[in-house]
Amino acid sequence: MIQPLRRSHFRVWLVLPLLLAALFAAGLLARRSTLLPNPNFSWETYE
Amino acid sequence: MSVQYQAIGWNRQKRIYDLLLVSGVLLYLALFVGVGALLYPTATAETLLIRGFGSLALLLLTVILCIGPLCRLDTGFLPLLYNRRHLGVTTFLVALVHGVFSIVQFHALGDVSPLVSLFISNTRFDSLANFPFQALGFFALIILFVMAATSHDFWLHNLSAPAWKRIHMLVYWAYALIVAHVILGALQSDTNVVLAVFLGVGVAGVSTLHLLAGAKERRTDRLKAQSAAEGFVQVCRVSEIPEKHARIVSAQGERIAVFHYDGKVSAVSNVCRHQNGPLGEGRIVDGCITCPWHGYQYAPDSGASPPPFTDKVATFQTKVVDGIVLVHPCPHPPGTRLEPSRTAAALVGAKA
Repeated sequence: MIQPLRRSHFRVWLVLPLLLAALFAAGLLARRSTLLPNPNFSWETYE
Repeated sequence: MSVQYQAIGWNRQKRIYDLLLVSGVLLYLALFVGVGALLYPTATAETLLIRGFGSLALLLLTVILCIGPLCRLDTGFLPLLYNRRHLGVTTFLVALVHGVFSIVQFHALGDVSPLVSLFISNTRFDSLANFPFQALGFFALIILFVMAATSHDFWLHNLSAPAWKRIHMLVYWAYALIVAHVILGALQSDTNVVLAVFLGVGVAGVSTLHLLAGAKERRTDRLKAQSAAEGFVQVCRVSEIPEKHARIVSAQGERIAVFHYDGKVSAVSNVCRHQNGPLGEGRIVDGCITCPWHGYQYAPDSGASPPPFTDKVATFQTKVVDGIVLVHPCPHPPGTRLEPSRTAAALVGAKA
């Protein structure tokens, strides 16, 4: 009864690690510059 | 709908579990907001709470997703499965607070509905750094809601176990959406590496555990299929046979007594040579199977009586695969010694 579920579970976890690792790497590469243009300026204080 | 609703069966353990869970949630939030206020004095309370609830939801979901594969890799982790559904509902509630705070903070002050604003305020689908990540979190929250709403046994019984499990396997896609939500959202604007390290370790840990558990199950399935092809029949789990006792199984016209003793499993004919007494209803005394009728004794591995007696019973080949005892119904000549199968506990002991 649970064999199809186990099979789909296995397939999901063959795909997800690759997908998440690729997204993680792409996300890090696409990261915006973390250097603030003006470190003394705070948007929250400004608001 | 033939199943009636029954309230949660509260007991002392569940109350303690939930008390610890709520205490842990409050402690985490207090620490997050407190430390966050010290490190980032310009951050507002709303920002710290949004980040605190969001990171807690991801942490709880990561823990939940580790429990399943850990239990499949080692039964010692099975107690962690207890009340896992309460952990899941808590995750949804924490994620809901994060979502509501975020929508109110970033979308409630315009002249369109906050939910509409969530989907139309940013349409830069072509940019990773500026992707509309909030929509991903919203869809994950919908999945968590469906799971939390159907987590009660009432739904499990009404929907049937396979359908219920299919719905709850959506948690993997909710996890993927949440990870994408964090990668394309907080990770893009966060100025330190702590978030990236925690997220990377979490994703790698969850993925590795699931892959290891899946590989172990496939190996076990293959061994079982191979054993079945060789003619072995399944008896029961090793843990279901009390120490120095037997489980009687009937296969191909043979009644076989499968004994569990000293981390080993052996099988002999269930019929005593003396007066056909049921050996499987006896137990192992002084290392010998002892017939419950008149005390005739046989060595469990060879089926031979200890000297000077000469009585012998047939023996059967056994196997233990992933804690399950298998026996081959083809009898070996009476007195044939067969190497007993080792249980997992015995193998661990031997390695130590």
